Amino acid sequence: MKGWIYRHTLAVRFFHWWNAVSIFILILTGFYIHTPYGFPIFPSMDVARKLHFIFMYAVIAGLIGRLYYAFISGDYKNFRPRLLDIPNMFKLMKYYLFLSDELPDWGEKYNPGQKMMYAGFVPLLIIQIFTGFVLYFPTALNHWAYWLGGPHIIRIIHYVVAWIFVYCVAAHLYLDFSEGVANIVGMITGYIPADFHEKHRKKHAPAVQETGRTVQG
Amino acid sequence: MKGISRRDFMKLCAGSVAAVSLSQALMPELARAVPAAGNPPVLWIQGASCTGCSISLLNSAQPGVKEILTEIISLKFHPNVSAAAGDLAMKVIEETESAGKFYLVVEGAVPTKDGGIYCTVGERDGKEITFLDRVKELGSKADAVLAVGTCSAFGGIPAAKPNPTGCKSVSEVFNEAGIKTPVINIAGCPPHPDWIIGSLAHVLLFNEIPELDQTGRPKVFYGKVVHENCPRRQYFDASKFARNFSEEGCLLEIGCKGPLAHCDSFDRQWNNGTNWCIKAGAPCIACTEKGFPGCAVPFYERMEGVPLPNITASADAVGAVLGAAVVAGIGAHLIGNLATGRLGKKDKEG
Repeated sequence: MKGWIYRHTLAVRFFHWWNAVSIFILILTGFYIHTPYGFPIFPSMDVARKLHFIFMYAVIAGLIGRLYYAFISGDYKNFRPRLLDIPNMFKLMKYYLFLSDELPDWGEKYNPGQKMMYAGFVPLLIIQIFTGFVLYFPTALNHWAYWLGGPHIIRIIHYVVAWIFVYCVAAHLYLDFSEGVANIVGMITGYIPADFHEKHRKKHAPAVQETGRTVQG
Repeated sequence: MKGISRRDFMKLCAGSVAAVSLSQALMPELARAVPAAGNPPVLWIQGASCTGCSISLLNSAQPGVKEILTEIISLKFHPNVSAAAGDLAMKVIEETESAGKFYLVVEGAVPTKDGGIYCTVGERDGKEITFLDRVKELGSKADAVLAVGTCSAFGGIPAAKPNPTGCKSVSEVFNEAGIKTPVINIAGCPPHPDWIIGSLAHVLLFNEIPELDQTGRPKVFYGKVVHENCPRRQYFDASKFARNFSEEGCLLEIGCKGPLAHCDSFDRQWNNGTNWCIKAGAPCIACTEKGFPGCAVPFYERMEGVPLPNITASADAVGAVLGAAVVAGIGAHLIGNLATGRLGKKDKEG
Protein backbone atom coordinates (compact mmCIF):
# COMPACT_ATOMS: atom_id res chain seq x y z
CA MET A 1 0.00 0.00 0.00
CA LYS A 2 2.04 2.91 -1.25
CA GLY A 3 1.44 6.31 0.24
CA TRP A 4 -0.16 4.81 3.30
CA ILE A 5 1.27 4.15 6.70
CA TYR A 6 0.16 1.53 9.15
CA ARG A 7 -0.94 3.55 12.19
CA HIS A 8 -3.09 1.29 14.34
CA THR A 9 -2.43 -2.37 14.98
CA LEU A 10 -5.30 -4.82 14.98
CA ALA A 11 -5.36 -5.01 18.78
CA VAL A 12 -5.53 -1.22 19.12
CA ARG A 13 -8.41 -1.08 16.66
CA PHE A 14 -10.23 -3.98 18.28
CA PHE A 15 -10.03 -2.52 21.76
CA HIS A 16 -10.89 0.93 20.46
CA TRP A 17 -14.19 -0.21 19.01
CA TRP A 18 -14.92 -2.64 21.84
CA ASN A 19 -14.52 0.14 24.40
CA ALA A 20 -16.20 2.72 22.19
CA VAL A 21 -19.36 0.63 21.90
CA SER A 22 -19.30 -0.21 25.61
CA ILE A 23 -18.80 3.37 26.73
CA PHE A 24 -21.43 4.63 24.31
CA ILE A 25 -24.05 2.20 25.62
CA LEU A 26 -23.01 2.81 29.22
CA ILE A 27 -23.49 6.56 28.73
CA LEU A 28 -26.92 6.13 27.12
CA THR A 29 -28.19 3.60 29.65
CA GLY A 30 -26.62 5.60 32.47
CA PHE A 31 -28.49 8.75 31.56
CA TYR A 32 -31.68 6.76 31.28
CA ILE A 33 -31.13 5.25 34.74
CA HIS A 34 -30.42 8.73 36.06
CA THR A 35 -33.52 10.31 34.59
CA PRO A 36 -35.90 7.80 33.01
CA TYR A 37 -38.47 10.44 32.14
CA GLY A 38 -35.97 13.06 31.07
CA PHE A 39 -34.12 10.76 28.69
CA PRO A 40 -36.73 8.20 27.62
CA ILE A 41 -34.83 6.11 25.12
CA PHE A 42 -35.26 2.65 26.63
CA PRO A 43 -38.49 0.73 27.18
CA SER A 44 -37.92 0.15 30.87
CA MET A 45 -35.52 0.46 33.75
CA ASP A 46 -35.08 -3.28 33.67
CA VAL A 47 -33.74 -3.23 30.09
CA ALA A 48 -31.54 -0.20 30.69
CA ARG A 49 -30.09 -1.61 33.89
CA LYS A 50 -29.39 -5.02 32.36
CA LEU A 51 -27.60 -3.39 29.44
CA HIS A 52 -25.68 -1.16 31.83
CA PHE A 53 -24.55 -4.18 33.83
CA ILE A 54 -23.61 -6.23 30.76
CA PHE A 55 -21.55 -3.42 29.25
CA MET A 56 -20.10 -2.62 32.64
CA TYR A 57 -18.38 -6.01 32.51
CA ALA A 58 -17.57 -5.50 28.82
CA VAL A 59 -15.76 -2.25 29.48
CA ILE A 60 -13.85 -3.77 32.41
CA ALA A 61 -12.71 -6.58 30.11
CA GLY A 62 -11.87 -3.99 27.45
CA LEU A 63 -9.86 -1.90 29.87
CA ILE A 64 -7.92 -4.88 31.20
CA GLY A 65 -7.28 -6.13 27.66
CA ARG A 66 -6.17 -2.74 26.42
CA LEU A 67 -3.81 -2.22 29.34
CA TYR A 68 -2.40 -5.72 28.93
CA TYR A 69 -1.80 -5.10 25.24
CA ALA A 70 -0.24 -1.70 25.96
CA PHE A 71 2.29 -3.17 28.33
CA ILE A 72 3.25 -6.31 26.45
CA SER A 73 3.52 -4.59 23.07
CA GLY A 74 5.26 -1.46 24.29
CA ASP A 75 2.30 0.60 23.11
CA TYR A 76 2.28 2.32 26.51
CA LYS A 77 5.35 4.27 25.32
CA ASN A 78 3.05 6.27 23.06
CA PHE A 79 1.40 7.69 26.15
CA ARG A 80 4.48 8.36 28.24
CA PRO A 81 4.45 11.96 29.42
CA ARG A 82 7.47 14.01 28.37
CA LEU A 83 8.69 17.41 29.47
CA LEU A 84 8.34 18.46 25.85
CA ASP A 85 4.60 17.88 26.11
CA ILE A 86 4.16 21.11 28.04
CA PRO A 87 5.45 23.56 25.36
CA ASN A 88 3.89 21.32 22.72
CA MET A 89 0.54 21.57 24.45
CA PHE A 90 0.72 25.36 24.16
CA LYS A 91 1.56 25.10 20.47
CA LEU A 92 -1.34 22.72 19.97
CA MET A 93 -3.73 25.05 21.78
CA LYS A 94 -2.49 27.97 19.70
CA TYR A 95 -3.25 25.95 16.59
CA TYR A 96 -6.72 24.98 17.82
CA LEU A 97 -7.48 28.58 18.76
CA PHE A 98 -6.40 29.77 15.28
CA LEU A 99 -3.52 31.76 16.77
CA SER A 100 -1.06 29.85 14.66
CA ASP A 101 -1.30 27.81 11.53
CA GLU A 102 1.51 25.45 12.27
CA LEU A 103 1.84 22.27 14.19
CA PRO A 104 5.23 21.04 15.34
CA ASP A 105 6.38 17.54 14.54
CA TRP A 106 5.49 15.73 17.76
CA GLY A 107 8.04 13.06 17.08
CA GLU A 108 5.67 10.37 18.33
CA LYS A 109 2.33 8.80 17.53
CA TYR A 110 0.02 11.19 19.34
CA ASN A 111 -0.02 14.91 20.06
CA PRO A 112 0.06 15.93 23.75
CA GLY A 113 -3.70 16.57 23.79
CA GLN A 114 -4.42 13.10 22.46
CA LYS A 115 -2.00 11.53 24.91
CA MET A 116 -3.65 13.28 27.80
CA MET A 117 -7.20 12.37 26.81
CA TYR A 118 -6.59 8.76 25.80
CA ALA A 119 -4.46 8.01 28.84
CA GLY A 120 -6.95 9.96 30.95
CA PHE A 121 -9.67 7.48 30.06
CA VAL A 122 -7.86 4.90 32.20
CA PRO A 123 -8.14 6.70 35.57
CA LEU A 124 -11.64 7.91 34.65
CA LEU A 125 -12.72 4.34 33.91
CA ILE A 126 -11.15 3.12 37.13
CA ILE A 127 -13.14 5.76 39.06
CA GLN A 128 -16.31 4.65 37.27
CA ILE A 129 -15.62 0.98 37.94
CA PHE A 130 -14.97 1.60 41.63
CA THR A 131 -17.94 3.90 42.22
CA GLY A 132 -20.12 1.73 39.99
CA PHE A 133 -19.38 -1.42 41.97
CA VAL A 134 -20.05 0.34 45.26
CA LEU A 135 -23.48 1.22 43.90
CA TYR A 136 -23.96 -2.23 42.37
CA PHE A 137 -23.18 -4.12 45.60
CA PRO A 138 -24.73 -1.82 48.18
CA THR A 139 -24.51 -4.37 50.98
CA ALA A 140 -21.14 -6.03 50.45
CA LEU A 141 -19.32 -2.79 49.61
CA ASN A 142 -21.33 -0.51 51.89
CA HIS A 143 -18.36 0.43 54.05
CA TRP A 144 -16.26 1.30 50.98
CA ALA A 145 -18.70 4.08 50.21
CA TYR A 146 -17.57 5.89 53.34
CA TRP A 147 -14.00 6.17 52.09
CA LEU A 148 -15.30 8.91 49.85
CA GLY A 149 -17.92 10.34 52.19
CA GLY A 150 -20.88 8.03 51.71
CA PRO A 151 -23.04 6.42 49.06
CA HIS A 152 -24.62 9.74 48.07
CA ILE A 153 -21.18 11.15 47.23
CA ILE A 154 -20.40 7.99 45.26
CA ARG A 155 -23.51 8.57 43.15
CA ILE A 156 -22.53 12.16 42.41
CA ILE A 157 -18.97 11.16 41.48
CA HIS A 158 -20.27 8.42 39.18
CA TYR A 159 -22.63 10.87 37.53
CA VAL A 160 -20.17 13.75 37.14
CA VAL A 161 -17.49 11.48 35.70
CA ALA A 162 -20.08 10.17 33.23
CA TRP A 163 -20.48 13.74 32.01
CA ILE A 164 -16.67 14.05 31.65
CA PHE A 165 -16.84 11.01 29.37
CA VAL A 166 -19.51 12.79 27.31
CA TYR A 167 -17.33 15.89 26.92
CA CYS A 168 -14.24 13.87 26.06
CA VAL A 169 -16.08 11.75 23.51
CA ALA A 170 -17.63 14.87 21.98
CA ALA A 171 -14.25 16.58 21.66
CA HIS A 172 -12.66 13.37 20.36
CA LEU A 173 -15.30 12.88 17.68
CA TYR A 174 -15.21 16.51 16.61
CA LEU A 175 -11.44 16.76 16.38
CA ASP A 176 -11.10 13.49 14.48
CA PHE A 177 -13.89 14.14 12.02
CA SER A 178 -12.80 17.74 11.43
CA GLU A 179 -9.22 16.69 10.83
CA GLY A 180 -10.35 14.29 8.18
CA VAL A 181 -12.44 11.19 7.64
CA ALA A 182 -9.16 9.36 7.06
CA ASN A 183 -8.83 9.25 10.84
CA ILE A 184 -11.96 7.13 11.14
CA VAL A 185 -11.00 4.97 8.18
CA GLY A 186 -7.60 4.58 9.81
CA MET A 187 -9.14 3.29 13.00
CA ILE A 188 -11.01 0.67 10.95
CA THR A 189 -8.39 -0.43 8.43
CA GLY A 190 -5.29 0.59 10.36
CA TYR A 191 -3.89 2.69 7.51
CA ILE A 192 -3.84 6.45 7.06
CA PRO A 193 -2.40 8.47 4.16
CA ALA A 194 1.31 8.95 4.70
CA ASP A 195 1.12 12.72 4.34
CA PHE A 196 -2.00 13.03 6.51
CA HIS A 197 -0.37 14.64 9.51
CA GLU A 198 2.39 16.42 7.62
CA LYS A 199 -0.17 18.59 5.88
CA HIS A 200 -1.00 20.19 9.17
CA ARG A 201 2.54 20.68 10.27
CA LYS A 202 5.06 23.01 8.68
CA LYS A 203 3.24 24.96 6.08
CA HIS A 204 6.42 26.03 4.38
CA ALA A 205 8.42 22.87 4.58
CA PRO A 206 7.79 20.36 1.84
CA ALA A 207 5.76 17.42 3.02
CA VAL A 208 7.83 14.37 3.75
CA GLN A 209 6.96 11.58 1.41
CA GLU A 210 6.71 8.34 3.24
CA THR A 211 6.33 5.21 1.29
CA GLY A 212 5.86 1.63 2.12
CA ARG A 213 4.56 0.12 5.27
CA THR A 214 5.87 1.69 8.42
CA VAL A 215 4.54 0.87 11.80
CA GLN A 216 4.29 4.02 13.79
CA GLY A 217 3.88 2.70 17.22
CA MET B 1 -29.29 -25.64 79.43
CA LYS B 2 -30.79 -23.25 76.94
CA GLY B 3 -34.18 -23.98 75.49
CA ILE B 4 -33.39 -22.49 72.13
CA SER B 5 -30.40 -22.97 69.86
CA ARG B 6 -28.56 -20.09 68.30
CA ARG B 7 -29.62 -21.36 64.91
CA ASP B 8 -33.29 -21.42 65.85
CA PHE B 9 -32.97 -18.00 67.33
CA MET B 10 -31.53 -16.53 64.13
CA LYS B 11 -34.24 -18.25 62.12
CA LEU B 12 -36.82 -16.76 64.38
CA CYS B 13 -35.31 -13.31 64.04
CA ALA B 14 -34.96 -13.45 60.27
CA GLY B 15 -38.05 -15.43 59.44
CA SER B 16 -41.38 -14.17 58.29
CA VAL B 17 -42.40 -11.99 61.15
CA ALA B 18 -45.36 -10.13 59.78
CA ALA B 19 -47.87 -12.27 61.61
CA VAL B 20 -46.21 -12.33 64.99
CA SER B 21 -43.96 -9.71 66.43
CA LEU B 22 -40.54 -10.94 67.35
CA SER B 23 -40.95 -10.07 70.97
CA GLN B 24 -44.17 -12.04 71.07
CA ALA B 25 -42.51 -15.08 69.56
CA LEU B 26 -39.48 -14.82 71.76
CA MET B 27 -41.23 -14.08 74.99
CA PRO B 28 -42.07 -17.54 76.34
CA GLU B 29 -38.71 -18.91 75.28
CA LEU B 30 -36.84 -16.07 76.84
CA ALA B 31 -38.85 -16.02 80.01
CA ARG B 32 -38.05 -19.69 80.50
CA ALA B 33 -34.44 -19.64 79.40
CA VAL B 34 -33.30 -16.41 80.91
CA PRO B 35 -35.56 -15.28 83.71
CA ALA B 36 -34.99 -11.63 84.38
CA ALA B 37 -34.08 -12.19 87.98
CA GLY B 38 -30.88 -14.03 87.13
CA ASN B 39 -29.97 -11.92 84.12
CA PRO B 40 -27.13 -9.49 83.92
CA PRO B 41 -28.58 -6.08 84.60
CA VAL B 42 -29.07 -3.54 81.84
CA LEU B 43 -28.43 0.18 82.18
CA TRP B 44 -30.04 2.45 79.65
CA ILE B 45 -28.60 5.96 79.32
CA GLN B 46 -29.62 8.81 77.04
CA GLY B 47 -27.47 11.56 75.57
CA ALA B 48 -28.08 13.78 72.58
CA SER B 49 -31.31 12.06 71.63
CA CYS B 50 -34.99 12.76 71.16
CA THR B 51 -36.12 9.73 73.21
CA GLY B 52 -37.67 8.39 70.04
CA CYS B 53 -35.83 5.08 70.37
CA SER B 54 -37.28 4.54 73.84
CA ILE B 55 -40.72 5.43 72.53
CA SER B 56 -40.22 2.92 69.74
CA LEU B 57 -39.36 0.22 72.28
CA LEU B 58 -42.37 1.17 74.41
CA ASN B 59 -44.45 0.71 71.27
CA SER B 60 -43.97 -3.04 71.19
CA ALA B 61 -47.58 -3.69 72.10
CA GLN B 62 -47.63 -7.46 72.05
CA PRO B 63 -46.70 -8.65 74.63
CA GLY B 64 -45.93 -5.19 75.77
CA VAL B 65 -42.98 -3.49 77.20
CA LYS B 66 -43.98 -4.28 80.76
CA GLU B 67 -43.40 -8.00 80.22
CA ILE B 68 -40.18 -7.32 78.39
CA LEU B 69 -38.89 -5.24 81.23
CA THR B 70 -40.04 -7.49 84.01
CA GLU B 71 -39.58 -10.92 82.49
CA ILE B 72 -36.56 -10.65 80.20
CA ILE B 73 -34.48 -7.64 80.91
CA SER B 74 -33.38 -6.78 84.35
CA LEU B 75 -33.46 -3.09 83.57
CA LYS B 76 -31.81 -1.25 86.44
CA PHE B 77 -32.07 2.24 85.09
CA HIS B 78 -33.83 4.07 82.29
CA PRO B 79 -34.19 7.85 82.31
CA ASN B 80 -37.84 7.75 81.24
CA VAL B 81 -39.11 4.50 82.69
CA SER B 82 -37.38 4.35 86.05
CA ALA B 83 -39.40 5.47 89.03
CA ALA B 84 -36.23 6.42 90.87
CA ALA B 85 -34.87 9.90 90.42
CA GLY B 86 -32.12 12.08 91.79
CA ASP B 87 -29.62 10.59 94.21
CA LEU B 88 -31.50 7.31 94.35
CA ALA B 89 -31.17 6.84 90.58
CA MET B 90 -27.50 7.78 90.61
CA LYS B 91 -26.96 5.26 93.39
CA VAL B 92 -28.56 2.50 91.31
CA ILE B 93 -26.21 3.25 88.42
CA GLU B 94 -23.18 3.26 90.67
CA GLU B 95 -24.16 0.04 92.39
CA THR B 96 -24.75 -1.72 89.10
CA GLU B 97 -21.47 -0.40 87.78
CA SER B 98 -19.45 -1.52 90.76
CA ALA B 99 -21.11 -4.95 90.83
CA GLY B 100 -19.84 -5.49 87.27
CA LYS B 101 -21.17 -7.83 84.57
CA PHE B 102 -23.87 -5.64 83.10
CA TYR B 103 -24.96 -4.50 79.65
CA LEU B 104 -25.11 -0.88 78.64
CA VAL B 105 -27.65 0.59 76.25
CA VAL B 106 -26.75 4.00 74.89
CA GLU B 107 -29.39 6.11 73.22
CA GLY B 108 -28.32 9.33 71.54
CA ALA B 109 -25.03 10.70 70.27
CA VAL B 110 -22.20 11.78 72.55
CA PRO B 111 -21.39 15.52 72.50
CA THR B 112 -17.60 15.75 72.79
CA LYS B 113 -16.80 19.40 72.19
CA ASP B 114 -15.50 21.47 75.11
CA GLY B 115 -15.08 18.38 77.26
CA GLY B 116 -18.59 17.16 76.59
CA ILE B 117 -20.17 19.99 78.59
CA TYR B 118 -23.15 20.20 76.20
CA CYS B 119 -24.78 17.16 77.74
CA THR B 120 -24.69 16.44 81.44
CA VAL B 121 -26.43 13.51 83.06
CA GLY B 122 -26.36 14.04 86.80
CA GLU B 123 -24.07 15.16 89.55
CA ARG B 124 -21.37 13.61 91.66
CA ASP B 125 -19.96 15.47 94.66
CA GLY B 126 -21.59 18.64 93.45
CA LYS B 127 -19.95 18.38 90.03
CA GLU B 128 -21.75 17.71 86.78
CA ILE B 129 -21.15 14.39 85.08
CA THR B 130 -20.91 14.80 81.34
CA PHE B 131 -22.50 12.22 79.10
CA LEU B 132 -19.09 11.72 77.49
CA ASP B 133 -17.57 10.67 80.82
CA ARG B 134 -20.61 8.53 81.63
CA VAL B 135 -20.36 6.62 78.37
CA LYS B 136 -16.63 6.05 78.76
CA GLU B 137 -16.91 5.08 82.42
CA LEU B 138 -19.84 2.68 82.06
CA GLY B 139 -18.77 1.57 78.60
CA SER B 140 -15.35 0.43 79.72
CA LYS B 141 -16.89 -1.76 82.42
CA ALA B 142 -19.89 -3.15 80.55
CA ASP B 143 -19.81 -6.59 78.94
CA ALA B 144 -21.25 -5.18 75.75
CA VAL B 145 -22.76 -1.92 74.59
CA LEU B 146 -25.89 -1.63 72.51
CA ALA B 147 -25.84 1.65 70.62
CA VAL B 148 -29.57 1.99 70.07
CA GLY B 149 -30.59 4.37 67.34
CA THR B 150 -28.64 5.98 64.52
CA CYS B 151 -27.45 8.80 66.82
CA SER B 152 -25.50 6.57 69.15
CA ALA B 153 -24.59 4.10 66.38
CA PHE B 154 -23.29 6.61 63.81
CA GLY B 155 -23.86 10.14 65.11
CA GLY B 156 -27.13 10.64 63.31
CA ILE B 157 -28.99 13.92 63.43
CA PRO B 158 -27.03 15.51 66.33
CA ALA B 159 -23.79 14.88 64.40
CA ALA B 160 -25.14 16.27 61.13
CA LYS B 161 -23.61 19.45 59.78
CA PRO B 162 -22.74 21.85 61.30
CA ASN B 163 -22.57 19.73 64.48
CA PRO B 164 -21.84 22.58 66.92
CA THR B 165 -21.56 20.28 69.94
CA GLY B 166 -19.12 17.85 68.30
CA CYS B 167 -21.48 14.88 68.57
CA LYS B 168 -19.95 11.48 67.91
CA SER B 169 -21.09 7.90 67.86
CA VAL B 170 -20.38 5.53 70.72
CA SER B 171 -17.89 3.52 68.68
CA GLU B 172 -15.99 6.68 67.71
CA VAL B 173 -15.79 7.70 71.37
CA PHE B 174 -14.62 4.19 72.28
CA ASN B 175 -12.00 4.18 69.54
CA GLU B 176 -10.60 7.49 70.67
CA ALA B 177 -10.56 6.45 74.31
CA GLY B 178 -9.14 3.01 73.50
CA ILE B 179 -12.12 1.18 75.02
CA LYS B 180 -12.41 -2.34 73.66
CA THR B 181 -15.97 -3.19 74.77
CA PRO B 182 -17.90 -4.65 71.82
CA VAL B 183 -20.53 -2.30 70.41
CA ILE B 184 -23.67 -3.42 68.60
CA ASN B 185 -25.05 -0.68 66.40
CA ILE B 186 -28.83 -0.92 66.29
CA ALA B 187 -29.33 1.81 63.74
CA GLY B 188 -32.65 3.34 62.80
CA CYS B 189 -34.43 6.56 63.41
CA PRO B 190 -36.01 5.06 65.41
CA PRO B 191 -34.99 1.38 65.38
CA HIS B 192 -37.75 -1.21 65.29
CA PRO B 193 -38.51 -2.63 68.76
CA ASP B 194 -37.74 -6.10 67.39
CA TRP B 195 -34.23 -4.99 66.42
CA ILE B 196 -33.59 -3.72 69.94
CA ILE B 197 -35.14 -6.69 71.73
CA GLY B 198 -33.75 -9.23 69.27
CA SER B 199 -30.20 -7.96 69.70
CA LEU B 200 -30.53 -7.69 73.45
CA ALA B 201 -32.05 -11.16 73.66
CA HIS B 202 -29.21 -12.57 71.59
CA VAL B 203 -26.67 -11.11 73.94
CA LEU B 204 -28.56 -12.35 77.01
CA LEU B 205 -29.21 -15.83 75.64
CA PHE B 206 -25.85 -16.65 74.17
CA ASN B 207 -23.53 -14.28 76.00
CA GLU B 208 -22.07 -13.15 72.73
CA ILE B 209 -22.82 -10.43 70.26
CA PRO B 210 -24.70 -11.34 67.07
CA GLU B 211 -22.93 -11.40 63.72
CA LEU B 212 -22.36 -7.82 62.62
CA ASP B 213 -21.88 -6.19 59.24
CA GLN B 214 -19.05 -3.80 58.37
CA THR B 215 -20.75 -0.92 60.11
CA GLY B 216 -21.43 -2.92 63.26
CA ARG B 217 -25.12 -3.66 62.72
CA PRO B 218 -26.57 -7.15 63.32
CA LYS B 219 -26.67 -8.82 59.91
CA VAL B 220 -29.91 -10.58 60.72
CA PHE B 221 -31.80 -7.27 60.77
CA TYR B 222 -29.70 -5.09 58.46
CA GLY B 223 -28.49 -7.56 55.85
CA LYS B 224 -30.84 -6.60 53.05
CA VAL B 225 -31.27 -3.54 50.87
CA VAL B 226 -34.70 -1.92 50.91
CA HIS B 227 -34.74 -1.26 47.17
CA GLU B 228 -34.10 -4.91 46.31
CA ASN B 229 -36.96 -6.10 48.50
CA CYS B 230 -39.37 -3.26 47.92
CA PRO B 231 -43.05 -4.03 47.31
CA ARG B 232 -42.92 -1.27 44.69
CA ARG B 233 -39.95 -2.83 42.94
CA GLN B 234 -41.95 -3.93 39.88
CA TYR B 235 -42.80 -0.28 39.27
CA PHE B 236 -39.11 0.54 39.23
CA ASP B 237 -38.27 -2.25 36.79
CA ALA B 238 -41.12 -1.16 34.53
CA SER B 239 -40.10 2.51 34.81
CA LYS B 240 -43.28 3.63 36.45
CA PHE B 241 -42.35 6.46 38.80
CA ALA B 242 -44.52 8.50 41.11
CA ARG B 243 -43.91 12.17 40.48
CA ASN B 244 -46.05 13.31 43.37
CA PHE B 245 -46.96 11.86 46.72
CA SER B 246 -49.82 9.37 46.78
CA GLU B 247 -49.25 8.48 43.12
CA GLU B 248 -48.84 4.92 41.96
CA GLY B 249 -45.28 3.90 41.18
CA CYS B 250 -41.73 3.70 42.46
CA LEU B 251 -40.85 6.55 44.81
CA LEU B 252 -37.30 7.08 43.50
CA GLU B 253 -38.12 10.30 41.68
CA ILE B 254 -39.53 11.84 44.84
CA GLY B 255 -36.39 11.07 46.76
CA CYS B 256 -36.59 7.46 47.94
CA LYS B 257 -33.18 6.38 49.29
CA GLY B 258 -34.12 2.69 49.30
CA PRO B 259 -31.18 1.75 47.03
CA LEU B 260 -28.71 2.59 49.79
CA ALA B 261 -30.73 1.68 52.88
CA HIS B 262 -30.44 -1.56 54.85
CA CYS B 263 -33.19 -2.90 57.11
CA ASP B 264 -35.94 -5.53 57.14
CA SER B 265 -38.96 -3.28 57.53
CA PHE B 266 -40.35 -4.57 54.23
CA ASP B 267 -40.86 -7.96 55.92
CA ARG B 268 -41.23 -7.02 59.52
CA GLN B 269 -43.35 -3.88 59.18
CA TRP B 270 -44.06 -1.49 62.01
CA ASN B 271 -46.60 -1.07 64.77
CA ASN B 272 -47.05 -4.81 65.11
CA GLY B 273 -47.16 -5.56 61.41
CA THR B 274 -49.53 -2.77 60.46
CA ASN B 275 -47.56 -0.88 57.85
CA TRP B 276 -44.19 0.59 57.02
CA CYS B 277 -42.73 3.69 55.39
CA ILE B 278 -42.85 2.79 51.72
CA LYS B 279 -46.13 0.94 51.93
CA ALA B 280 -47.58 4.09 53.45
CA GLY B 281 -46.29 6.08 50.47
CA ALA B 282 -43.35 7.73 52.19
CA PRO B 283 -39.98 7.54 50.41
CA CYS B 284 -37.27 5.78 52.39
CA ILE B 285 -34.89 8.26 54.02
CA ALA B 286 -32.18 5.65 54.74
CA CYS B 287 -32.42 6.25 58.48
CA THR B 288 -30.41 3.12 59.28
CA GLU B 289 -27.35 4.21 57.31
CA LYS B 290 -24.06 5.45 58.64
CA GLY B 291 -24.28 8.70 56.74
CA PHE B 292 -27.81 9.55 57.85
CA PRO B 293 -29.08 12.24 57.56
CA GLY B 294 -26.31 13.71 55.35
CA CYS B 295 -26.48 10.86 52.83
CA ALA B 296 -30.25 11.23 52.44
CA VAL B 297 -30.86 14.96 52.16
CA PRO B 298 -32.83 16.49 50.55
CA PHE B 299 -35.25 13.75 51.61
CA TYR B 300 -37.65 14.36 48.73
CA GLU B 301 -35.20 14.83 45.89
CA ARG B 302 -33.43 12.21 43.83
CA MET B 303 -29.91 13.55 44.19
CA GLU B 304 -28.09 15.92 46.44
CA GLY B 305 -26.88 19.24 45.06
CA VAL B 306 -23.22 19.79 44.25
CA PRO B 307 -21.76 22.50 46.48
CA LEU B 308 -19.94 25.09 44.39
CA PRO B 309 -18.53 28.40 45.63
CA ASN B 310 -21.52 30.49 46.75
CA ILE B 311 -24.12 28.31 45.05
CA THR B 312 -25.40 24.79 45.27
CA ALA B 313 -26.32 23.47 41.86
CA SER B 314 -27.87 20.17 40.98
CA ALA B 315 -25.50 17.73 39.34
CA ASP B 316 -27.78 17.89 36.30
CA ALA B 317 -27.32 21.64 36.02
CA VAL B 318 -23.54 21.34 36.31
CA GLY B 319 -23.47 18.67 33.63
CA ALA B 320 -25.77 20.56 31.29
CA VAL B 321 -23.94 23.88 31.64
CA LEU B 322 -20.59 22.26 30.90
CA GLY B 323 -22.23 20.28 28.08
CA ALA B 324 -23.53 23.50 26.57
CA ALA B 325 -20.05 24.98 26.88
CA VAL B 326 -18.56 22.00 25.04
CA VAL B 327 -21.16 22.26 22.29
CA ALA B 328 -20.62 26.01 22.01
CA GLY B 329 -16.85 25.50 21.92
CA ILE B 330 -17.11 22.87 19.22
CA GLY B 331 -19.51 25.05 17.22
CA ALA B 332 -17.25 28.09 17.44
CA HIS B 333 -14.26 26.00 16.48
CA LEU B 334 -16.13 24.52 13.55
CA ILE B 335 -16.91 28.01 12.26
CA GLY B 336 -13.26 28.92 12.69
CA ASN B 337 -12.23 25.77 10.87
CA LEU B 338 -14.48 26.60 7.96
CA ALA B 339 -13.39 30.26 7.92
CA THR B 340 -9.69 29.44 7.78
CA GLY B 341 -10.24 26.74 5.24
CA ARG B 342 -8.71 24.01 7.39
CA LEU B 343 -11.62 21.69 6.79
CA GLY B 344 -11.73 22.04 2.99
CA LYS B 345 -7.98 21.80 2.60
CA LYS B 346 -7.59 18.15 3.36
CA ASP B 347 -10.40 17.02 1.16
CA LYS B 348 -8.92 18.77 -1.83
CA GLU B 349 -5.38 17.66 -1.21
CA GLY B 350 -6.08 14.31 0.33
